[in-house]
Amino acid sequence: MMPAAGLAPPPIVHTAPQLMRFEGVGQAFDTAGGPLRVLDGVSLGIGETEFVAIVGSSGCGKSTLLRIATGLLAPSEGRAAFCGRTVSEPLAEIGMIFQDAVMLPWMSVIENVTLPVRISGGDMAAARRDAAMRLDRVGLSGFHDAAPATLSGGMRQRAAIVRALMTKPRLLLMDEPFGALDALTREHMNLELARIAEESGIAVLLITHSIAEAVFLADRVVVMTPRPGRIAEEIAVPLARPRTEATLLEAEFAAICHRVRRHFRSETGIE
Amino acid sequence: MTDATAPLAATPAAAPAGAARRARTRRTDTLLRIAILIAVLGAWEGLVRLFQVSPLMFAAPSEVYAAFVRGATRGLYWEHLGVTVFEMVAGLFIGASLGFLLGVTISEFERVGRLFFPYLVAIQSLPKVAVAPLVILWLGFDIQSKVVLVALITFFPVLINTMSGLAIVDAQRMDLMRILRASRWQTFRFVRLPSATPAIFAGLNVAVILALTGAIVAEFVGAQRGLGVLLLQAQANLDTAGMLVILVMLAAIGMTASTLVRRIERRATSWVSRRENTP
Repeated sequence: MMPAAGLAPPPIVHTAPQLMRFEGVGQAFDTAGGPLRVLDGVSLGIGETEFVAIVGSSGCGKSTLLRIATGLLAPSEGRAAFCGRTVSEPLAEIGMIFQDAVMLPWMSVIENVTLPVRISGGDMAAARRDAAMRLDRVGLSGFHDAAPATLSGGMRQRAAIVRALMTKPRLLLMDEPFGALDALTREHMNLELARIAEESGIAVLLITHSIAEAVFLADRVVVMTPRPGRIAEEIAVPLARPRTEATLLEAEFAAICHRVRRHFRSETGIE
Repeated sequence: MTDATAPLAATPAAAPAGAARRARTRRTDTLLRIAILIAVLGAWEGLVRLFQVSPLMFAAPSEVYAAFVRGATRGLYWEHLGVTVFEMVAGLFIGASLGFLLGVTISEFERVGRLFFPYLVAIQSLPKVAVAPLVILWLGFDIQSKVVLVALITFFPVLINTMSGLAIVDAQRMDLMRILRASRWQTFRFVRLPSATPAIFAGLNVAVILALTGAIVAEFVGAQRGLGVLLLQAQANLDTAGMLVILVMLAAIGMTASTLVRRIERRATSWVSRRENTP
């Protein structure tokens, strides 16, 4: 179950240097009903400035893989390596976006956004200016001093993205960041994320269960099988950048989505 | 909290409509509240007169007021009032501070908690006022013994609530702190302490009332000054109206103190979403 070669039209060639690598990562949890294998032999590389999306149904261990990448969880087998070094604790170069925005309700939006700088002991005056500018650019001008609770889910998630970018990470990990948003907001957030990723040029590893979202955003889509999570196929997405609404209308976009979707038909047994 | 006013405040009319409507509701509430007070005082006065209750047993509001004016012109109350309030405030400050600090220590250092907690529970289940005679034996009839007793009585609610507040952790917020590589102190300062503030204030709200109780009981046991002493003197003189004056004063002190704490709580935990118009 290694990256499939045979059928795939454009073989995946890693031209960019590898930033993050998963090497034979396996994970088992002890549960009341015995050990539960959630990940099995996952090997995957993410190049510098590459946008990789992992698609899989619930329970395929996607989130576990991300926790391993952040260093929050040590894998039972294999390792995650960042720039060749095993990740054993959170690194400053790796940012993370959760499914919920996780804004601290006792701080204003701008205090939340500048918190990473405050924690790392950076220049707060500069951070405030930087944050104000970034918040304005994602459409949050006028909400700098608002309480997070007064923002909509989409606005909070945008603030969370700004927060993750404040320390200028080289890799951004995203765990179903738009899963809790409504379809319209989600589409808007996808456009915005495409823009942010293209402009900032940082690598992104996105976890999602939306096929369209994965294909729209990523340079490469990784399909995972459920329990234990294994890589079923890696599919290159050679759609032109910048990606815009027009991308969604391209025949190739539809073709790649279809190719990803086939996996879920056969694997879940639900026709 | 004060359940009596809750149904009034939560009428459907208070919820939707504009600010003007809400302001009107609030004005009506205030008027109704005053009306209730007048009705209660009137009924009290009327019943006492109607049944010609012996002045040894009870006194009408007018007699209580007259007793208050007599005492006030003699300058009877102010020193005693000051002493009791001081005992209450100083004791609360010391007790709550120590309770908070120990609560933090116990939750930060698990081992310390495991070792000491059973004994704390044992001491907590002891009625603190029962220690009063001993404390007075050690520290004498002056203010110090009262302050110590109030501190002892207010220490536990703050300790227990600080501990239970700090015991609740939001996994996502803790993950965020780990990913931001926050130190232990930063995690405490930015996440754990703010999360625990509502619980800590719940403890303080209890402690404030206990502080007054503690001060009065301690004065009963043995003191030279304070409203508790005055109360016992009035009883000895069969001055029922005088006793009622002290009780009204105690109620006023208790209300002022707990309103003050509640107001600080509102300011410190403004991020907590509350039901609209919670009293």
